[in-house]
Amino acid sequence: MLEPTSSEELCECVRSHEKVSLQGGCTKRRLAGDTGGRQLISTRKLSGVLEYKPDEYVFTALAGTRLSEISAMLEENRQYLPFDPPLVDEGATLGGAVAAGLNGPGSFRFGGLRDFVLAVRFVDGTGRLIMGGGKVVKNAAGFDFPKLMVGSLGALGALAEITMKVFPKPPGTAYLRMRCSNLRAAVAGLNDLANQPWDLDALDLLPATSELKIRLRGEAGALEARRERMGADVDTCGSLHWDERQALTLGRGDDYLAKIPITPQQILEVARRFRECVISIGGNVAWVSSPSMSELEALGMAALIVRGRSGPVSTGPLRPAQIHPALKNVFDPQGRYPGALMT
Amino acid sequence: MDLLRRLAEIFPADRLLVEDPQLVAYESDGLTVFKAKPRAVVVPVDAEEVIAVVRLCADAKVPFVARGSGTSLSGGALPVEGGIVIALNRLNRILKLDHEQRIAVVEPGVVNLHVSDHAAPHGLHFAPDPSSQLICTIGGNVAFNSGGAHCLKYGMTSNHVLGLKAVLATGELVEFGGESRESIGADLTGLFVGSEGLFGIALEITLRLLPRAETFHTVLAGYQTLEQAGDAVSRIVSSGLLPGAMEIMDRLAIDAAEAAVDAGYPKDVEAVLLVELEGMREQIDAEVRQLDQILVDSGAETKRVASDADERMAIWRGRKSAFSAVGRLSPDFIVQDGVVPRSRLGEALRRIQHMGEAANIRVANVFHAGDGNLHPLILFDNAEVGAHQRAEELAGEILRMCIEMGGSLTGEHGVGMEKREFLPEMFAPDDIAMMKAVRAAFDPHMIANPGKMFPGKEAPSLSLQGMHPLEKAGVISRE
Repeated sequence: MLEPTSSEELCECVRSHEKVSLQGGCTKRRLAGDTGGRQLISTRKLSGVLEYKPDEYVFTALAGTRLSEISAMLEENRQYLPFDPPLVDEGATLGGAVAAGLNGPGSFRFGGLRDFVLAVRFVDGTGRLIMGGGKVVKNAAGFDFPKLMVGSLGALGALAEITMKVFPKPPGTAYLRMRCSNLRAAVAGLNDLANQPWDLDALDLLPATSELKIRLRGEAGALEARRERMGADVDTCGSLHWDERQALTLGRGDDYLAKIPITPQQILEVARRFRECVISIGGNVAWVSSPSMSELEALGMAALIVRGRSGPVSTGPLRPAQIHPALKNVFDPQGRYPGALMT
Repeated sequence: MDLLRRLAEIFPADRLLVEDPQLVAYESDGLTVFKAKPRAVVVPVDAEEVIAVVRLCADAKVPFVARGSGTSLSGGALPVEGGIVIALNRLNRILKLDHEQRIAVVEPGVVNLHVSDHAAPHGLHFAPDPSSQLICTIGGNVAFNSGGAHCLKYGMTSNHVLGLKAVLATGELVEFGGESRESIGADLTGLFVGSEGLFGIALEITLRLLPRAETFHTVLAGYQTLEQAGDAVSRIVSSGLLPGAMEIMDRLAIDAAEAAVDAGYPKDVEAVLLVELEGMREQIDAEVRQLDQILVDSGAETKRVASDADERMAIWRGRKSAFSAVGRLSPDFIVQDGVVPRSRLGEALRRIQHMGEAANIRVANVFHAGDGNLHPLILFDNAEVGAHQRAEELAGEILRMCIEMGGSLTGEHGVGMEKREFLPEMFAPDDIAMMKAVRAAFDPHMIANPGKMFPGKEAPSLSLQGMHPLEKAGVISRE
């Protein structure tokens, strides 16, 4: 296991090995694919915040920096990453978060990780350190490599340094729920709430109980009045659901946990097939758990398998175009990095 | 030539323009200092025709430039001399507007504002709002990752594009992303948006729509100095408020806007700050109290609050007309688009003022204060010998200052023709080499909008030092 302490050392580690695999906090290890025969490079020591300017809503940190450290730093200035990156308490790192591209329920309000990443420095497959994006909240210069890296699962390069936009954290939070008579009614309720100007911070649906989970943020003194305007059937509840989303708690230990991008129209179709299912981000993602890969395959929809026994990182109709391998070849001509989803 | 003959097999004469008088309208875009004459302009009416043209161009290795309404301020839609212009305005259908999913699927020639107009009956809107939104098209917004006044809170065009279908310069048809806000795998939608037409042409774009805010609170505050207005923005930012928009205009820009649209801006102040809070009524009530205190503390001399939707629109009209209004003050002007770290706005404005004074050139300032995106308007009279060159030099100095301060050379207009020589000042040679390699993967023959974004000789370069050889030869010109 190599443990570079700087971007330059990371370049050196990549250059000196034919096949490498990057490892951050090991909270989403399955997404790294099969690491057999690859030199493991840990970002454990490639850690630390390089720059944080609260007045600019921007920070830059090395890829191995733990999200828990970043959250604590932001919290001191009443700021946060509004998209609720998962597995913060479990040790997830910033680089792993970008490479995995997973979003929490909070991305409902202001967008996901892709909408907050501003700049990246990464090591390409030839060992060069490449910068893309800009360290300011608005920038249109050059190709958007930062977004390209989101969800790339390490296929295009080793992330060294990442600049993110942050937002002021609203002072108050209310955890709400709406119980519905059945799943169909819950879907209708979700669509209705999502289209209202209520500025919901997050909107999830639990098919098992036909229940909507709603989070509001803002001025503490205004939250109760806002809740009342949303209707008599919206009442307050605890925060357990949101803690579980944060920890990706779903299903049993070694069952598969999959992220399935959906639209609100597909909620019924997915929820009908899986007992363990949570709909998040206002009906844009289904998190499902299943002991059986064939059950996931039978759904016929693209799914990212985040947890579970080893095997392919995705299932379903992901059809890369010719441009995918062409890009892989540009970023990693010698194939040093894993190639999941790019070939 | 062979290509023209093959185009004529696809396009009737009224949609294949080859005569000089027809081509003139396409020689420039919003950046009129550059001109180039295409060999032909084609006006497709559907995606199949666009695909056919691109494939013909790929076979013949003839460059093409996609064009919407031609409002690019960076010369992004400038034709390539002897190439084909693909005018996309007739691909203007909104293919789908699904209010339950809160998405719209549109063709590239759809005008930006039409998306919000169609979404309005459902209480939804499309957030990116460039000042040219009355005429600019979504295809152009996608190519140049357009911004607008609401970027700090809502992001730019790329943050609102969920997926797209495109024909690449190779002729390959691709589909990136989809109708969900979530996706799997590297974000090629994000890479495509802002690629300045160098990868290919988007044929269908899936846009994210947002619920329209319940309440707007729009304030126009007047200050005795630009610094005070800038300081107010810093105070708002550190207070924890997140306004939908924060815009500043200086005296020169106010005068111009007033003369043009009579929006009722205060006349005896040096700067105005436009702040717009938006959200649920109860939330906004609390925020207004906070904002009012900040405006008092920061020394606002005047304060006007929009009392209804009409007054709100009037205030915005003043801001959105600023660019064209400045045309009344000066026969010619250059709009710059650099970004500086917001906390250094005051310093940047002071330096721009000094640079303008030193060069004896008037500079009007209109900018998106919330995200540090400056729009200095550099006024000059092209009839005056050397005036344009001096204005260009000042523009270059301002850009270098933005980069040196840790900002960007473009916030929302793109690099295009205008700023391509500055790309190496923001990015290292390896970074640019990687961008070029990515471009080559999408477009190995370099036929898609060549000559934009990257410095170099692949297309006519207009030097600031005297006339370019191609200018002398009469092949390209600027005015």
